[in-house]
Amino acid sequence: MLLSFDYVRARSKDDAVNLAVEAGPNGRFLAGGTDLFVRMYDRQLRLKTLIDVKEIEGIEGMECQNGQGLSIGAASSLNMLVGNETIRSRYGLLAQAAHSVGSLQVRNRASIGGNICNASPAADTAPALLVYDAEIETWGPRNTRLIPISQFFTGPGKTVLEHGEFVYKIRIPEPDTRSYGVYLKLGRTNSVDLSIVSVACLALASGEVRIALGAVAPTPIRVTEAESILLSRKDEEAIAFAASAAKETAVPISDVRAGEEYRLDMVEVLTKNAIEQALAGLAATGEV
Amino acid sequence: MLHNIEMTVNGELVKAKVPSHMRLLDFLREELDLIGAKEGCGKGECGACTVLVEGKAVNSCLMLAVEASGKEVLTVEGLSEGDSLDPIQQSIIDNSALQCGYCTPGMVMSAKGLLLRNPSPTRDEVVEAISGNLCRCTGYARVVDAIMQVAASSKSQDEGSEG
Amino acid sequence: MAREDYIGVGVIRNDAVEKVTGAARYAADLKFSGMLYAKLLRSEHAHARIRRIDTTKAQNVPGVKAVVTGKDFPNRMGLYLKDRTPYAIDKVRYYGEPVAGIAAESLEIAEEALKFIEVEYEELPPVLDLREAIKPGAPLVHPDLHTYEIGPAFFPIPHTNISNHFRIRKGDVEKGFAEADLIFEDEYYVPHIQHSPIEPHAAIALYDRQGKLTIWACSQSPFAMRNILANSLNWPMNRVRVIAPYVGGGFGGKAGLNVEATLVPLALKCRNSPIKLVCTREEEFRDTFVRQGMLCRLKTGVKANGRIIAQEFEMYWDGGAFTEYGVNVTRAAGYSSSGVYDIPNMKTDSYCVYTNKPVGGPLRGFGHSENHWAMEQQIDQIAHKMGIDPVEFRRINLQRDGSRNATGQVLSNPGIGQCLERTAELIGWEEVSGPGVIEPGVKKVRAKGIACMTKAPAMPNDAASSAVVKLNDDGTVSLSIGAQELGQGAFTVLAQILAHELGVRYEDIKIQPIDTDYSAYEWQTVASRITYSCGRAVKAAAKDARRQVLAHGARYFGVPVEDIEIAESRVFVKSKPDRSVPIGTFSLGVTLPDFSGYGGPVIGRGTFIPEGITAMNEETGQSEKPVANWTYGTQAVEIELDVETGKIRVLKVAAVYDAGRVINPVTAATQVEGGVVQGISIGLLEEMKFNEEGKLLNPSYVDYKILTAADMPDELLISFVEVPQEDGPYGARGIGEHVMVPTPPAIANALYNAAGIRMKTLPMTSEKVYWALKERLSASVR
Repeated sequence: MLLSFDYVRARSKDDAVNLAVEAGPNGRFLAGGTDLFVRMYDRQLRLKTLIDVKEIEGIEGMECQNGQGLSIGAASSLNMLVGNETIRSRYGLLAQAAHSVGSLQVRNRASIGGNICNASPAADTAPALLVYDAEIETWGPRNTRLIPISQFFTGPGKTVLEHGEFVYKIRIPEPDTRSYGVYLKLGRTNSVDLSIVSVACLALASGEVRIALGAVAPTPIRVTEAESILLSRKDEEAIAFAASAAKETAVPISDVRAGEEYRLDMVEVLTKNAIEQALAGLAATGEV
Repeated sequence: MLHNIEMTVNGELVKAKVPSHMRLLDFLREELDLIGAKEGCGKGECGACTVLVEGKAVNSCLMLAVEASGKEVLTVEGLSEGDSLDPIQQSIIDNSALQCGYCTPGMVMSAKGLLLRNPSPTRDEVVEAISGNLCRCTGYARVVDAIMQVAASSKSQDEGSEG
Repeated sequence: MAREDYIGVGVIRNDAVEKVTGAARYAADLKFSGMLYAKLLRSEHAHARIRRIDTTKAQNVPGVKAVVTGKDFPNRMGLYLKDRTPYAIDKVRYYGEPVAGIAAESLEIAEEALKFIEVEYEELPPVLDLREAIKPGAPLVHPDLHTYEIGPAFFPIPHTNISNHFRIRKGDVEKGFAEADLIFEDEYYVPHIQHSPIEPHAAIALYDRQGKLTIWACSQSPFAMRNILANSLNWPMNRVRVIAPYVGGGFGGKAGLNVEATLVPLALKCRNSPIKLVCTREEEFRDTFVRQGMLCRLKTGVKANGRIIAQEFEMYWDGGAFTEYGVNVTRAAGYSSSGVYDIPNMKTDSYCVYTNKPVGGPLRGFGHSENHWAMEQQIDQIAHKMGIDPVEFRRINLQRDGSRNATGQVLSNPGIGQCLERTAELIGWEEVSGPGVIEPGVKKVRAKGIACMTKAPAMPNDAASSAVVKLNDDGTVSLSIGAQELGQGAFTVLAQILAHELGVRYEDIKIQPIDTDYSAYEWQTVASRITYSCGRAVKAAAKDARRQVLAHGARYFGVPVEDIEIAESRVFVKSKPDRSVPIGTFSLGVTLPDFSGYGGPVIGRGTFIPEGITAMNEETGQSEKPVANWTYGTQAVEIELDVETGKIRVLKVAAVYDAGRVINPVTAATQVEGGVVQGISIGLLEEMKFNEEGKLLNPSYVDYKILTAADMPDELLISFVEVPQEDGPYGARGIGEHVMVPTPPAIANALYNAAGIRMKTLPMTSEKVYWALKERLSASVR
């Protein structure tokens, strides 16, 4: 049972903003609801108004035009991402990350916008979006802005979003070269679990290797120190250095899922494996 | 706040007035007396409340009734007609892939959602489709076998009709 | 025409169609007009005095019909030890204990009104650590323990936190150790875990104008529930009625009386209004029964030839705030403390300890999963130390015909030897010569491990079963039993026995839903006792009905009764099989050719009570026949260990049990499959975690993980041994609980064989395994 609140449906971007401003601090935008309803069910959150954004034009669906990159409507479900051919072939890492969220039922409702707006340090799509240098297009009382994902998260459950501002689209720039991405997630069970540690690694034909971590800091993070080690060298030793640099960067906590020390060691293990797999994958696709 | 909603449930048009906070699960169970969907956890972790909305498996505990307005909802009650069961249901019976039965309606609906979109899944795809449905009794293997058998028989039928 | 043979046949479950169509009704699916909804206010302290409680404001919330607190129902209740009340009185004993209850017109009103109940607590030092709890001078969870009413088989130690001390004294343990060539000693621990059935507890209570209290509940124990309630209310038993629809998974958690009790004072206040309570998953995790934690020290003395000569076993059970049911778990774990081995000299002490934690109770395995976690690992530890293959070491020490177990009971032809050999064969056992060693650079290693088990039904000596068989006019059959269908397939197997014995079609049998006003008595659906005990009652009832039908037939056909047979729901003359009529012809008696009547409706009755079980000696635990029977089994696993992360994957499981006689090979196999997966889940994942204040940190599936479909083993090899149980129906004995007992120690043994690490604390999470691996690697470097 949920405790009472009012549900309103936003008809347009402006409508959404106005409804949110009107609702005040006890209002919240609703997309898939798979996280919001859980917190409301647990009585961690009591809201007065939920503003459903799913019917706003353009907030669901994907667009990919050559040279323009990919634009994903924020209310697109994770399974829409998983099943999208363009995403699977060109942004495979994002498909993998989306696929690792919750259960199939949850992914049919959960939206990519919700996954990042909840700003869980363990949000699975966040490390993927970080390595793709995604930008978040928002609409709010002060009109629209484009926020680099690296600046979007400010802490557990916290983002730079202002009151009344919602995520409309997620934009991923066109990759300049061929790339291969790997998302590794360590959980307790093999499905429907939160990450103990997750690592996204994107190897680009340009020689760049991008790495982001989940569940080991107050926000999902890019590990640029590790990335710069791999700019010039990609041998076994360099990979080990990079993995160790990722571990140095991580600042996990201990909780019921795992201890801090274990998480740190696993950052190193998963980072190393992710780099190796991404480089191998890139090499293999290059051969084709 | 009350809403006038209208949806198709198991092929029938349903009109009702519901409060904002009523979950689809509560609407089905309390208002329509469709008790097949169960509440096991209320948090989308166990899958006992799984129903299909627009052909897709969802946790009806994580969706509002008002969000389902205008949509097509299928519950386990909509799968059988009189004595004629859905092949998935029959296969679960034949494989003894149920015990206490509490997770079974949700399990059946997850399988239905899968086979609607992918009539010949791999074993891994079947596992994926039901891994959001917790079961404490069966150990899952028979459930996977049961679904695989339905897929295999529909495949052989297709091939038969083509040939 | 032949009698249909239904024994040993995998007929389709008789509850399958209802369940697969969503038509089966469980307690939470029931709804009545004028129904009220209950919510409970629960303690937010593990141990505190209630200084003041004021419900006035809550009472005045519109829509609230009743508010109750502990004082509204001060009578203590419990199955074996009367130590609890539905709501806390004067003090709270665990974080989550009910303090007040509200019945209101809607669930939402009930919940909102909870906020208006004012409670003032004075915090007391909580007793959370088992070791602290047993020290002299520890704060007492139940200072009045010595005044509580308790069953005859239990021995509390007054003015301590120990509510039961069970002892085994067999042979001369000191002499045994003196003669031993090797003495091995270690400590083991299992944490609290939850049954986690997918159906949370649900109940409806109605106190009607007749003065009768009716409870609809998901219950494994409708009759025990009636007994406990009538007893605590001090009412005649016919004023309490329990109706129990299908149970959505029990595993022990729905045995006895539990959350249903909180509805009783509310119902008494809201006369003629049914009140419904459905537990949230959080309540299901914390506020129904849980499995106690257990800490133990096990010491074994062995001769150079590999024979175990002495064993000393000390078990401390983290019983929680109330041990009304838990005391019997500690007793059962005590009397089975030799496991499957023949040990001449034994000393066992099993202590049930009160702590300020959730209420310990029965969980599938009933103490045996816990004591075997220690025993079956120590066996491997000793085998390794002596350089003997673990299977061979077991062979040397297994109980045989004529062996005496911990209670001194002489065993007749135990099936464990066959179980062990067949399991080793199925898994492809290869001799293990030492701990596994991980070579540098190796990322994954595989190994096999094995463990044995035995368990007896842990029940009072007079736990009885009964059954009534009624023939309907048309020849269909109604079976009235008090045994419950929890998913284990009881209704199917009992209908098979009836069909077989009476000669009717299995499809023509319907089992009546349990209602203590109408159903035949059953003690409880626990202890893996239904096929064995209720099976005997059904068999007897069927024979009784058959005798009546045969007599009617003889009269009708005018032949001797010996010349009448029943098969496939038809009655015929054996010497002239074409003279046959449908069995329904005789359901209500016989109509003779002159149209006069004879006989009367066919009603068969059958009862069963295991005979000859005697009390165990208080000082020594010795008895010639302490329990009804012993079921043996063995499991082996093959695991793959991810060396980098510590994650264990179970690839293959072989499981062999001595079922005496398998009545239905399919439902028997499905019991094993589910039990093995539950065993893996408990072995790798499950643990209730508490903070320093005794608050449960993971009361949800988000952080209390159970195995999903994506985690199951690739291969499961199941086989049954059939050494007949003398007093079981067709030789059958129970296997329901046994099948999850040896899984965790088999995995632990495999882990040692893979990587040379020994996990003595459950669960074997990847994190714990990882650190153990690291320690081992650094030790080998040093």
